[in-house]
Amino acid sequence: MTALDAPRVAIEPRVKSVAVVVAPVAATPEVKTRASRSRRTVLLALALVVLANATLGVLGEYSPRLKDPAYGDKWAMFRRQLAARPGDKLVLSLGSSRTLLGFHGAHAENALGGGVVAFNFGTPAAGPVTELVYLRRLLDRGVMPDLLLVEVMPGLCADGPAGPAEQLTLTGERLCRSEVETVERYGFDPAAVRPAWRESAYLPWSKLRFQLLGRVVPSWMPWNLRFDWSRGADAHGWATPPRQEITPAERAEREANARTEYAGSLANVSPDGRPFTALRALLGDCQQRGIPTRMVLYPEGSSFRAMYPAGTGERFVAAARQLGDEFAAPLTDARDWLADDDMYDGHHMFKSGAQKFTSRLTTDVIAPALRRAP
Amino acid sequence: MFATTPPPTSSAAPESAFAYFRWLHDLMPEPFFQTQPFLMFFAAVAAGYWLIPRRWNTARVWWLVVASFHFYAAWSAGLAFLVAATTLADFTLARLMAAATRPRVRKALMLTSIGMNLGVLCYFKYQNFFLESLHGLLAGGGYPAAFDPLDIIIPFGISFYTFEAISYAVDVYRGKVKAERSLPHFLLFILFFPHLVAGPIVRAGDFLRQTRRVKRWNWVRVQVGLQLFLLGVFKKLAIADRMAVFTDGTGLQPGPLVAPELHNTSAIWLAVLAFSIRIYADFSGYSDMAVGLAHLFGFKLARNFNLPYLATNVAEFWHRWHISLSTWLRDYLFIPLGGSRGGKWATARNLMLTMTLGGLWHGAAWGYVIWGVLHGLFLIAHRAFRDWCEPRPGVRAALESPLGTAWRVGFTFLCVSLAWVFFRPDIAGSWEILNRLFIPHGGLSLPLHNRSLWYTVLFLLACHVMVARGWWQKAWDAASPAALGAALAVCLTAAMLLAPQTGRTFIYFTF
Repeated sequence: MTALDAPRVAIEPRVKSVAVVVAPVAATPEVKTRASRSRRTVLLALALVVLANATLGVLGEYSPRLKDPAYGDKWAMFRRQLAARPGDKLVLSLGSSRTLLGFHGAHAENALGGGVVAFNFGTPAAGPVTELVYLRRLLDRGVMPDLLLVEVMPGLCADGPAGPAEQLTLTGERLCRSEVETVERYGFDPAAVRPAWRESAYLPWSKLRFQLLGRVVPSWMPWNLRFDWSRGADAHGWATPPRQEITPAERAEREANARTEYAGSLANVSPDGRPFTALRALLGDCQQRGIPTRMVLYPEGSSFRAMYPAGTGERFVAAARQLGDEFAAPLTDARDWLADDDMYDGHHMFKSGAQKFTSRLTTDVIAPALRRAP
Repeated sequence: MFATTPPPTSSAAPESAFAYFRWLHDLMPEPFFQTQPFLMFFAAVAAGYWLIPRRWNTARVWWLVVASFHFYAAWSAGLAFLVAATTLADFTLARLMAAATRPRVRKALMLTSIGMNLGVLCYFKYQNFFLESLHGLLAGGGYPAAFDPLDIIIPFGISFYTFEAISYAVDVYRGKVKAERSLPHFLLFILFFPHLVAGPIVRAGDFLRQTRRVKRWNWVRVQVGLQLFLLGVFKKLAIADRMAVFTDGTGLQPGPLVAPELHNTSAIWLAVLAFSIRIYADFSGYSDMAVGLAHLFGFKLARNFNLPYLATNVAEFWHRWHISLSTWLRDYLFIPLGGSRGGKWATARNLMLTMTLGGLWHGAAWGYVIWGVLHGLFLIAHRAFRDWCEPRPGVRAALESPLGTAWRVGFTFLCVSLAWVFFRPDIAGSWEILNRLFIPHGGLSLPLHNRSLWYTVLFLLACHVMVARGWWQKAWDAASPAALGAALAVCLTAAMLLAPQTGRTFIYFTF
């Protein structure tokens, strides 16, 4: 006999017809005890579910690492670097996967001859809005770089009718409440960002499940949901592809993929767009705090450069230079610094490419800027 | 709650002409129990239901009828009206049957009711199948003709409520149940939303009696209902939908059962295993949710599953799998055909007919028919083997030993799992799967690391053993309310945590 069958008489007093209501059988002490036990079970279960979600929701709101492991992993590495070398000058690089694969912090440190921490804070698909959000998180935690390198990627500065492309990756659940307002200001769709953030705050065990499982059992999920993009990086935040050689056919295929991904957005690059406004805000923050800043347009292969509609690249560079002049953050146009063989898809570097690029960036940009820094 | 991405539906709902129903559709586009819109709908309906004073039982029943109609109409208003209209017709025909005194009139009324229900079922579900098969035959005979499938949307759950209506007409005709006099009670019998779209298939004798009982709020019942609902949510989100990643793919890579021609032999075997787990967790999870929800309104629906993969033979499997369907087929098809009363050959014929029609009931495609035929063959083979064992006590003892029992369970599971290969409309895909199962092939491996598949297998095995041995119930009875409450909270949290990216429609919703 199950718990349900036992009190059946009391639950459902049988009646002869609809019109007749038979008084329930008087509840025995045993039935009362069972009902009380069930009531406590149900109410406690509901309370625990609410409590568990509220706790995680609050934790997530105060710990971006929980909601946004791509940032959190980088932050953990970065903090270790800072703790290991207090007093050294800090060169911090913000940007997308181009930065992640291209700025070789250890190589830069060697070239500078010590006394500098060079850290790569690049994360995939991070355009100006993500850079702004990340910079503000870092500033809130007291990070004050001696030189900030900000990647400007034309494809991620595009502003189509649907808003900036990076809203597809910097989704609402990766943000805390105040950041939601920030990204909305720069064109993120409130109808997508708000509900995602709300769900991450009120039902975090559901909405943040990939972030959580990606920490504990990454093999249970496809790689694109693990949020572990920053995990394979070295101590300076730089990552490199597992394969350093590629066949011409593979290169052609990857360049075609890049074309599919960026050709459309490059047509929408506009200096008046909202991502550009976010870049302006970022530079404004840096100027206000006295952080020496340089913008960098990363190397692109010939196939990638050919994707720009006529005049677009030049207009973009001119607008970025103008912005740099306004905020004392000059632009370095490094698009033609590397040969096609140094990249595997026209814009992501191999290790050799990263070393070449970093060497030149150190010589041409970082070292002079550090010399000038107070 | 939990499924934030709505599961893709098998058939798109037709757009309603009325703004009200369009608004309703926007609020709750799919009748899936594990979604946020449904839970809000349920909370509103349950609150209204329990706030109606219990002396107004008919008002409560009407409330549930209206809510159930809205539940279906939110998906498709036109089809909701169709279901309501056929239900009204069944009610009227049964009343006429009860009033008629001449047996021939009664029989004619019963046949009218059955004919109407089967006619609607055939029109919506089988028309394209029959026409396509006819065209195939003509083409095979040298008369090729172009075939454009008719644009017909199959109403969710049509096979389920059709069977309920047919069993009601037959039971009234046989005098097993009295024709229901109350329209709202009868409407609720067919339309009650927890069982409307995928069962369990309820019988009038069981359900109508309950509609007349006055329901009182009872915490024990609430606990049982909540337990079953959460168990169903866990099975659906944490097990079935997760296993679907191994069978159907991740979005980055198609799964072995979607594109078998790309996958290697071991991936196909693992996908077949995953599908066996998936279909069980999916359908029994839905049934648990349905039974749990009904409990929260004070109704008790029939148990639909009883650890089917612990069955030691296929006959036992059918006593444990989709029990409401297998008992329906037994009572309204197998026994009227003669059952097992007419000798070996007649019994074999009746089994084969019953299972073939049972297969066709699942889906309008030859794959489902083959699946039914296979189960018919398994049942016939099992009967023959049982008769062969009867005079051989040594063989019986060996089979009934612990090792023999484990072997029988494993062999039954293998047979059932291989039959699942045909449980799909794409028959060419089924042959490709079989080909790759038994002839080694290279190709892609599973779309996801198989570690979580094996953990799921071990977890389910442990749960089955615990339940079968009675340890689960013992632990549950002995646990304090705090422990039970924590267990329920963990169950729900685990379901939320383990749900994959995209929810999947319930497999049986399409039948």
